[in-house]
Order: sequence, then structure tokens, then C-alpha cells
Amino acid sequence: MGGYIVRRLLAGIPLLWLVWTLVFVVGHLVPGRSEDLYASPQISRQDQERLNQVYGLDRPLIIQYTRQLFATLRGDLPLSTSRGRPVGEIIAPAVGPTLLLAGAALLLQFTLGILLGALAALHRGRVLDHAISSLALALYSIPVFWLGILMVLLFSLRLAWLPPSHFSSLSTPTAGLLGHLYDVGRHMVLPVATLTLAGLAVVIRHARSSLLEVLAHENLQAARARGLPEWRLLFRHGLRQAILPLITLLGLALPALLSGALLVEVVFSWPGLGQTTYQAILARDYPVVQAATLLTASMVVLGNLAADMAISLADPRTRPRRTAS
Amino acid sequence: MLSGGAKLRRVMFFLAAVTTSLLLAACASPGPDEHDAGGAAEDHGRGTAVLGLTADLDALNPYLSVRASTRDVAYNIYASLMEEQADFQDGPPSFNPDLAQSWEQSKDNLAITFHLRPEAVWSDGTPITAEDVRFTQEAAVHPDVAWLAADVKKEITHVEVLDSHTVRFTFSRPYPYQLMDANDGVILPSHVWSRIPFSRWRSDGPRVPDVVSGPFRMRRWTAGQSIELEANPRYYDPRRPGLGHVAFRILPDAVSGFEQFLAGHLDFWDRVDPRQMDRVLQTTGVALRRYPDRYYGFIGWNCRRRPFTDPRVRRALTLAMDRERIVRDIFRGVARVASGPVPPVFGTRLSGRPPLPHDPPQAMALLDAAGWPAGGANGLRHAGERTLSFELQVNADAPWRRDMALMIQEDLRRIGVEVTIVSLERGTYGASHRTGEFDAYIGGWRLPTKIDLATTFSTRAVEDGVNFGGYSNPALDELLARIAGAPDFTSSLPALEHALDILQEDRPYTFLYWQDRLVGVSTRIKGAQPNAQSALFRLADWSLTGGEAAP
Repeated sequence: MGGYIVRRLLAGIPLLWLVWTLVFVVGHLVPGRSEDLYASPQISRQDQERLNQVYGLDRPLIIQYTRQLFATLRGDLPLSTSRGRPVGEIIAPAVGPTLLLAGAALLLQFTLGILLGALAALHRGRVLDHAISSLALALYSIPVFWLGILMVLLFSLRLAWLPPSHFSSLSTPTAGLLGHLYDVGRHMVLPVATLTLAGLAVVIRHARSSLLEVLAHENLQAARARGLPEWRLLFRHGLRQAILPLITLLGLALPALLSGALLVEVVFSWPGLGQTTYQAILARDYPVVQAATLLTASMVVLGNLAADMAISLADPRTRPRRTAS
Repeated sequence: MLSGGAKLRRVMFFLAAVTTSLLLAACASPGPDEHDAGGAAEDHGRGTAVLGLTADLDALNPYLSVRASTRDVAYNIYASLMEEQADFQDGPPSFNPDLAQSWEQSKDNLAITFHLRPEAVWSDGTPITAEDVRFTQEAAVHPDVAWLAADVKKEITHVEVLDSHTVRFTFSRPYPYQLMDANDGVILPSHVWSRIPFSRWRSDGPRVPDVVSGPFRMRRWTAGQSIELEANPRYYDPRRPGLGHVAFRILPDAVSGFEQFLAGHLDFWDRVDPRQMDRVLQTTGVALRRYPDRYYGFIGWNCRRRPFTDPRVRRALTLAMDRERIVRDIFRGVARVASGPVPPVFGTRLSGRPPLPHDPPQAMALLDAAGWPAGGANGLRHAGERTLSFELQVNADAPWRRDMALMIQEDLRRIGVEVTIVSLERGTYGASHRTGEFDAYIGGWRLPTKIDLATTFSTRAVEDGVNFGGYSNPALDELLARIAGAPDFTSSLPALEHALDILQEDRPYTFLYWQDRLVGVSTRIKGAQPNAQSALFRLADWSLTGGEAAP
């Protein structure tokens, strides 16, 4: 298993290099440089060029590429051109909030999705099945940023139940750790709910179809014939057998979740990787965009690896085998 | 071998463990990218005001910053030599003492000597000295620091420490804005920043300044979330600031900021759109303030491209536009039709020329005379095979410019001119101007508190400034050189007025509007005087009438 993990991780390296290079190339194909964003009668071209020299933006692209690549390999990330600070200092603090948001949404998406999918499967063709399917379709059709805005309008501005944005309230020195956790929790509700609802439909549909397939299987027919109640059949036997495709879906859901998180983070001022990347794209800050994309790609690679490991835990037949030489 | 149920439980446990660890790890940290200046929050019983910002800061050392939002915060934690006033109508602004308690100009007007307050100290107790001023000036013009506004210091040849509290600035020549240029930028603590080579300021400099001199000191900066300031107990004036605690909340966009202001989450919001005015007026607990801004909106013509090479065409297009309608329908009257690049906030003498009227018949006659008669394909004007049509660029993040472009398109269609509106992403829009790849664009400039036409309209500004349209008039260049060389503002006025006449005649820009700015202020706030100098003018003098802070 250890060798398998190492091989998978090594196989991810060319992919990450490709992603990094692609972002560099595409970034520089897009018209516009950072100075185009702050052009003003108060700023002379000469002063702009001096700033470009500081960031090495006056060098030919191939030199910029090579320098950045080697610097990244050494772990010596370049300066952000929009914030004037090392990229690592900008990216590192954004990882936690994104993992928190995406992790909570993932957990909720799969818990709720499997439950609703199971309910729909249990009531196949009946009102509840249609209601759940329609709900899933409606949620799937609403753009995630629009859903976020609706949530803010309703729950924050209209009903004033929850904070409309940000990671936490302004500093409350006397609140302590528990108070802080409670505060972060309140701020999480809307963004997590938005991200969860946006991806819920896919899980419901997968869970429903996987369970229907399993429930129609011969060995479950036999259990049903022995008089086992349908719900028990579903949760004791059906779910166990339907879990494999859902774990595969878990691996596939991660990229969608991270890209959805970008929009949600922007709508809710959530200080994660998505928001950082979005701001960097607008500011033509390529070092930050590259580092953020690299990190997101790494998360996807690791997420898929984790999903594969989870599958092999659930089903030993899928475990990598040593081939006889 | 494990049973099926055990396998399922193992998988679920694995997933739950991973997710829970992530949740706890992220939650338990005090916040994202949080820089705490240390110490308990002190509000000295003066209360907390929450102000909205739409962009985070990039640095708290203003010499490393490229963002305007930094100025609002940095100028309240670092003091300057003097405090610039908002009285720049009809001449350079006046100044109140700040770190410098007095100053005098030499008889030949080539030097200004500043006398610093002996009682002023940094927040760590170190005295503020002339060496801090000299060091800051050295940093401001150093290529490794690469301050974007370094150009303002180009006439300062020397900064000399005369004694620990006296410093002299020497200039290459006398000119009206010497005081302003000497004062531009805040004073940095040399005992903190001189320890780091200029080339390492960005990578190794302190992220959050814990040694400051302004009325406030930094409490906490949480990237993308908020910046919190608290009263600096070592500020030289013990009566200030009136607020114990100021929090800048960073909002995702202007709409969200406005809604949060109305909902009571913010005490101050300086981006009220004219279309939002009524909602502010209908909301209790908030007030609307209006002041003339240093901003003008325009259409920039590419004077290198036909038909805009001909000033008659540029004038005709201006005459055909109903700019009153733009002011009325888009800005709801919170603007006026512009007649030039100097807004009324700079005084009526320079902004008092009447704007060109909306006169389509005269526009058509001018186009006929310029060789663009009516009667071409699709009812368009033409010169030989070529019809009179052009692309008008707007930036997609400014929807009001798109609305304006639609009105202009409609007006010009009536006189036989076809306009295609091109909406571009901000960076692409900026790049097309820099490279000269445009016919015309709707833009706007916020001016500094000094009048400088050269960076926008001189021939030199094609290479070194923002003369993107390539406009060039040797007569104007000569006048601009005369203005730059004038020893005082009064003697520069005749040339300045003549230059404005030339711009009105040549119309390298069609000046569209001078906009007033709308600011929403909670009625809890006392002493706010937003004005063209700064929306946060004299933040140190603001106070609260009482009540809880915005959540």
C-alpha cells in the first residue's frame, strides 16, 4: 500500500507541473498587466517601470518562467505583484478557511445526499420520490453565486438571523476559544449551506440510482422474501453495497466543490483560496494565481488518492496487488 | 477478514476523522492571515466605529502600496509633517501643523525648513526626529522601494538634518506645490525600517506596523476581512482621537457594502450610488452627505486614428451628445455637465467655462464641413467608401458606463454615426489604452489636489503619462511648460486658463460629467466631514454619540 501511495504521488508531479505551466502561459496570453489596473495621472510610466523591475516583470517571459519554476521547486515562492509580499504568506492562511468550508460542505452534501437519495429510492415512483427529485433539479439549476446572494438577502438582511459575510466578527477579546468557535460557526452557516445545496443534487441522484440498483439485486430479493423491512434492508445491506460508487463520486466531487467554493467565497467574503485566486486574477497577480492553482490541484490529487484508499478499505478486491515477477 | 458492516464503519470513520480534523484545525486558529499587534483592545471608553472598504490593503507601509485603500488606513496610523486641508479651490491647499509644528520658506524659495514637535514620539516611546524625515525621503525615491508616487519628489534635491528636530528640504526650482510635495507621504520610523535593506522591504519588512506615530495604532489586520485600529496612547495630541476603536470591514462589492450599511452593520459607507440615494433617505439612523469630488468622466478619443485626427469631428460628436440626459438619468442630478478637466472643487475660475450645448444641427453641419456628409449605407455618414463608425470601449465592472454608452450610441445614431459598444474586463480595457488599440473609451480620472494637465494632455505624456490617445499640440506643450515653471500659482493662472481654452477647442476628450460623491454616515457618528480631500477627513476628530458598535 505504501509503495502504491508513493507511486500515485509521484505520478501527480507531472500533472502539477503541467497545471502550473498552463496557468503561466494562459495568464500571460490574457491582455493586460498589473499596471493597467492602477493607471492614473498621478503615476508616471517611469515609476511603473521601476515597480516592474522590482518584481522582475521587465524580463523576457522565458526568464520569468524559469526563475519562477526553480524558485517554486526550492520552496522560495516569488513576491505577489499586487500585495508586495511573498506568495506563501498570502496563500498559506487561505488554506484553512477553504478546507473548513469545503470539508463541512462535503460532509453535509454526502450525509444529506445519501439520506435523501435513500428516501427517494425507498419511495420510488411515489410523491416523496418526485418531491426529492424536483428539489434536486431545482437546486442543480440555480447558479451557486445566485443561491448565495438569495441566502444573504433572506437570512441576513431580511430576517437578520445570521451574519451576511466574513469568517468571524470583529475582534471580541473576551469571547475565548469557545466563543470564537461559536462565532465562526455562525459565519459558516450560509456559505456552507450554499455550497452544500449547490452540489446536493448530484449526490442524491447517484445515491438513489445506486441504491435502486442494489435493491433489485438477487440476494436482497432473498432477504426481502425473508420478511426484512424495506428500510432495514436498505440501511443494513443496500447502503453498504452502494457505498463504492459514492466514494468514487466523493473523489470526483472535490474539484467541483473547490471551484464552487471560489464563487461562494467571493459572495461571502470568505478568506479562502477561492477569494484569494479571484482577487489575484483581477489584479493580474500571476505568482499568486499559479501558487493557488498548484495548491488546489494538489488538493484534488490528494483527494482522489484518499478516495481510492477509502474504496480499497471498503472493498479489498480493489486493493493494488503486487505482480509476480 | 472484516464483515461488510465493519468495512462500512471503517470507511465512515476514516472520512469523519479526516473531515473533523480539518474542521477543528481551521476553526481553532484565531483567524485567517491574522496579524495581531498585541495587547488588549483599548477603546478608552470612546466607542467603536465600523467603516466599510471594498478592497483589502496590500501593505501598511504606504511606500510599498499600489492601492488607494491603503491611504485611508496608513494616513491614520502614521503622521505626516503637516495636515493638508481641503481648501485647494483657486490654488494649492493650506496646511495645518502635524509632526512639524512650524515651517518657513527661504527667501529664494528654494528651501523649506520644518521644525518638528519635540514632544512627538513613536508608539514605542522613541522620539520622532529629523532623521526619520530624512530617511523617509531617501526611501520614497529609492528605486528598490519603487514607490509609485515617487514622481512627486523629483524636484526635491536634498533633505538635510539641521538638528534633531529641524530638517530642511531643498528644491531644484521654486514652484507652487513645494509644500505639498515635501509633505506627500507619511513619516516612517527609521529605527525600524533602516534595519532592513530597501531591496528586502517587501519580503522582510514588518507586516503590521507596531511602531506608529498617528492618532491610531494597529490592533489587528485579518486579510480580506477587517483592519482594526485603536487609539494610540502616545499620540502627541492627548485630546485625539475621539474614537477609541475603528474597524474597517472589507466587503465583497459595493452592493453588498451598501446593504450592510443600511442593515446597520456599518457606520460609514462612502460608495453610495446616486440610484441608492432614496433608500438612504428612507432609512432611520443614517444620513446622506454629498460633496463635490475631484473626479471627471470623459470619452477619450484616439487622436492618431481617423476620423478622430480631426478636431472638428471630436467637437461635432460632443455637440451631438445629450450630456444633460446622462447627468439626469444616470447620476440622478448628483453630477453636472463638464466643460473641462478641472472640476468645480478646484474653484470656479478654472471650471466656469460653459460646456458645449447639446446641438445636433450644429454637429451635423460640422461633420459635413469635415468631409463626412450624410447619405451613406444604412443612413450613416461617410467619406468615400468609409462610413462614420467606431468602437466605444467601456470596462465591464462599471455598469453605469455601459448605460452611458447606450445613450451616446442613441444620440450619435441620430446624426448618422454608428457606435459599437465594446465591454471589456478591467485589465484588458486598461491594456488596450496603454497599447493605443482603441477608437474611443469612456473613462474617468480622480485628480490629486493639485492641477496638473501635463500628465494627461502633454505630448510627453504619450510616453510617460496617460495621454493614451496620442493627442499633441505644440502650443499646449509650451503653455504646460510655462505652468510647470511658474514660481507661484497666481503667475501660472493665465497660462492655465489659456491651456484650458485650447483643450476646449481641440477636445482630445469629450468631457462628460463632474460627479459629486455620496457618503452614508450613521447618525451615531459625530464630526465626520467627508470632503474632496478625503472621505475620512480628520478621522481623528470623529466621535460617537453613544450606543453599541455595529456588529
